Amino acid sequence: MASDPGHLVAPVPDAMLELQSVSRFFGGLAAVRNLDMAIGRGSIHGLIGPNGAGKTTVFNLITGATPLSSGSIRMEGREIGHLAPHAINRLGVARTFQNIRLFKGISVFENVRTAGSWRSGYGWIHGLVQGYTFHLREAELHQRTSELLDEFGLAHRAKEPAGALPYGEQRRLEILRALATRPKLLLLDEPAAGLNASETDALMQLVERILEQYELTILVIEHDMRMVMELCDTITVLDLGEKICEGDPAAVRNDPLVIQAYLGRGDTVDASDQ
Amino acid sequence: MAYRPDPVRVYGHWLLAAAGLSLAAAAIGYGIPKVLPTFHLDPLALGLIYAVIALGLNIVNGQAGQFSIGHAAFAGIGAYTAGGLSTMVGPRLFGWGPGMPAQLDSPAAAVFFMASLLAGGLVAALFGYLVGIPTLRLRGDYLAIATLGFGEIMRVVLDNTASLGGPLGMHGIPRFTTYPVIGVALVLTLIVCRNIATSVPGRCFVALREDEIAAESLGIATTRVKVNAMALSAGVAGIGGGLLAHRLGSYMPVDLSWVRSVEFVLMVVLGGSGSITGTVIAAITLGMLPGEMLQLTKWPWLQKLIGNKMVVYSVLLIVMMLVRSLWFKGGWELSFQWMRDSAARLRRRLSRREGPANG
Repeated sequence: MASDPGHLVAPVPDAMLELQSVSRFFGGLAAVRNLDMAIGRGSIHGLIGPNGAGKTTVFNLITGATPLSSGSIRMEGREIGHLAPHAINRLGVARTFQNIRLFKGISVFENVRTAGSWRSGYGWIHGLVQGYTFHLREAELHQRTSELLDEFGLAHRAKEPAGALPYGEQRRLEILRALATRPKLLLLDEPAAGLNASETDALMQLVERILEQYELTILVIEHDMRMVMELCDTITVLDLGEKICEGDPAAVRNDPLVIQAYLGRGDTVDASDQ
Repeated sequence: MAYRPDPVRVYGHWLLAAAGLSLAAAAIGYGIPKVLPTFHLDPLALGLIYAVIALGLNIVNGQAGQFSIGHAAFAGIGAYTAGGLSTMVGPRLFGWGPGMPAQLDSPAAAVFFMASLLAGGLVAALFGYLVGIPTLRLRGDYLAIATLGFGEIMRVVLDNTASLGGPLGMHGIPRFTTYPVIGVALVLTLIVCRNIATSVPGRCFVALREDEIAAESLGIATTRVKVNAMALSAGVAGIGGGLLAHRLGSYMPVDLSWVRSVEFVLMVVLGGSGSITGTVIAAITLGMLPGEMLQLTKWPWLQKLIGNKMVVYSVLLIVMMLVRSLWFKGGWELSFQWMRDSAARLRRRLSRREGPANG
């Protein structure tokens, strides 16, 4: 019932991001096949599924890191399926990575400042001459960066190289760095991976806080079911590249196809999917 | 945004820096030749010119992290362009005889020389741009091999271009690169490199070096930034090449070979990849070395022992590699910020020393 495609897209009237029959093939392998998905403005949308289900590929497709094989992706009604990752980021999509990708060799402060730099409002000439405009824009950039670090408790680490931070703080820094580009849609790829229970709680608070404060829409891949169930408004479940279920946490939790995808099926269950 | 910088302060600092840098250029241009014994002047001049080229390479290799082993070729393109202008166009414009003037004899000639250096830089930058478009899609070793190939192609092309002197290269280039010229060129190069490094374009370079995929996902147009870095880097190297040609008086295809490129890479790597200060120090040290080793003839036994440049090179490399980790850790720069910070540290330490004595 929950996997009936008819009602899957319908209940999202004001979509931030829409995927329409999106597919991605690697050779003969369908990493993602005919995926329809809509993410409501201001919601936290979960993307779950067993290992190899194609979750990260979906992220790579949305952010342009992997080109689409077919289908269309629209951000606020605008087609972004053919754009380069940096162009998509400039339209308001930012992401974190499953295996943290910080600029490890440079300081925490520089990490965040670099991310916000395309919004700095000056270019080569001002950078070379370093007159008043440069100093004004730099001061603004500096202030935005400091505010972000202050607000999320990384100010005391500002001068340390990012690679020297403990794991949990690296995760947090990566989220801050994504926020520095002032996105409308934030994609979090397994933000709780490797965190302990209390760190996960802190992370959930952080996510809820940035959701409100920055008027974000969040799409999150996560294996920590407690976090997914508590945090997400809507959950999409992928298995072997296809959507098998979508709905609110309660519906997803009890869906037989989901249980089957995660736990396998007994002999008594009829092979009636597909 | 509540905070606005004070224009008076900003431009005050700007003028102060400009004055200080002019002074530095004058010190290099007029001070060094007065102070230093004559036999050190030629090696040091080479070292300073190499510093310009190495600073160019540092942009793409040290800051942007794109490994290029073709910068002798970019320097060579600049050298052949500027040298060609001086030997082929200059005589017609200024009636320079076959012996060429020993120095710049008129303001017009000085402007022409500057223009030809710039032209050398621009042509090299254009080559950097054109080479960058296809090759910068490659990473790591592959990019290194591609740029190496480009350098060798340029060398072979020049070897076989009779109008540019073939394997004998370009001769009789007027020796216009005097100390004042070097001083101005080096200071200008330093300003460009420093200002790029401390502003958004330079930060994009570093982001590229640190993690290309993350940089791209954060709105940095990595392909364009890379090509820009390559063009800028090649341009600076080209200007350095022009200076070198007008110092040496000749330039040969051999000077474009990969061996020379590797020497520039060494300067950048020893300087602590990305550090402007380190690159300059390493370039001056390595650049002066061959010239300074001529002094060894005074002590024949020592010359026998370490008379080969390569012996000293390798020892120096090992030592600098060991010391480097102490010296240039964390991209240390001799910057205004560093000077302020260390002054503050020194004050703190002094006051602390007074503290226990009082209490």
